[in-house]
Amino acid sequence: MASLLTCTNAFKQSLSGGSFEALSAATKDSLQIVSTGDPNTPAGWIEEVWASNSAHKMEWDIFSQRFGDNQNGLRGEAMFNAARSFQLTFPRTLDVPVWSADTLNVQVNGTASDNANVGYQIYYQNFQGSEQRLAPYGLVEQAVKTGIAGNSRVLGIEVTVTPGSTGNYGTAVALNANDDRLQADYDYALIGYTSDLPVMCFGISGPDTGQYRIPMPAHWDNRHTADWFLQQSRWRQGNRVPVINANNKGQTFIDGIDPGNPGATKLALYFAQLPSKFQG
Amino acid sequence: MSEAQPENPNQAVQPGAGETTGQPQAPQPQPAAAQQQPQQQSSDSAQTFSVSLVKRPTGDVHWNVARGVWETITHAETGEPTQEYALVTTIDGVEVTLETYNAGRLETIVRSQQQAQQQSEA
Repeated sequence: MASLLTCTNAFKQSLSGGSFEALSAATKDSLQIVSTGDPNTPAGWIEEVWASNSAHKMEWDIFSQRFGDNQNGLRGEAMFNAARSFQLTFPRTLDVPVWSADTLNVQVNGTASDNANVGYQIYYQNFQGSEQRLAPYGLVEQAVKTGIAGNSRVLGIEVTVTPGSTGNYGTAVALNANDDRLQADYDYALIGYTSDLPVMCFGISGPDTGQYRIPMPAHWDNRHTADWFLQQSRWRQGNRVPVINANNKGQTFIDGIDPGNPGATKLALYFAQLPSKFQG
Repeated sequence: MSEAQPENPNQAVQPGAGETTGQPQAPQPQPAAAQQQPQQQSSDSAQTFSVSLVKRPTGDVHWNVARGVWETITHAETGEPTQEYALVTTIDGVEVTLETYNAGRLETIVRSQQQAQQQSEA
């Protein structure tokens, strides 16, 4: 079975305020769940939700006829802190199923004139045509501990990414634009990342992600994200660690999205070189 | 040899109190309990510092692989150098940055507030 790890980010600039209002999916994202042809088996699971407002606290909800209820569904709260940008608002290990061909609605109830974004990570267990390479925690942990030929092979690659200034994704930057040190032909497991600014969500996409965007919310506390993908895999006992081949570094891109226009942000992606080709 | 007596009878004599080395002593942090005792010079020793909010470039640079140079990081859409607001003060002649804030976030808040004010006036 081909699995797929991806995300949907939704946004609205200049809220009307005072009641729930709908957000729109960002570029290349969709609020529609893929059609699997099996209406009674979960098509996938929402694994993380993040929410951010540019100037005030707010409420958010995600709902559909088959997700919670068709009024407010899963309804959550988001604090505001100008320096900390956003919150992860979902239980770590509890994943909520989504259903074939369902269309989710994402709303917020905030203050007039504010900008709001809400996003979620979604994992499809059987996604026809997915060519994503996702490794399990155990394989990567072993590679990190063992090293290669007497050398540790964990390194951080810096890339500077500017989230869009109007709540949508910004300009995508190649993985090797600012730091070109991945060794040709090798596979690298993306363990996690750190950033010099909190940003609601970065995304990495390229040949090894099936051209789908894998989300990377950049929490103000870098310890949450330095092993983000390892934790995602460990919590769920499943494959959540993206594997990128060094030969694809020029075609692997990172972009970012945030309602607060934080500007150019340095992002360090932590990679572990794998001793052999990952067969995933 | 007599022990040094504390000015406040409730304050215990600290080990080494009364010893002099001939060298100026740096102020030592006081235990919380001691700080709660009346201090004779507390009002005289208070100092006030001016704090300024300064908008300035962060000066961040990164390596541009394609061009092979270190370059100033700029906003991908505007091309402007990255900016920050800094709370700055001067202590003993040294400028100290107390905190910095991301300029984009603060200015986004400002624009939202301006828009809200315009709508309420209309």
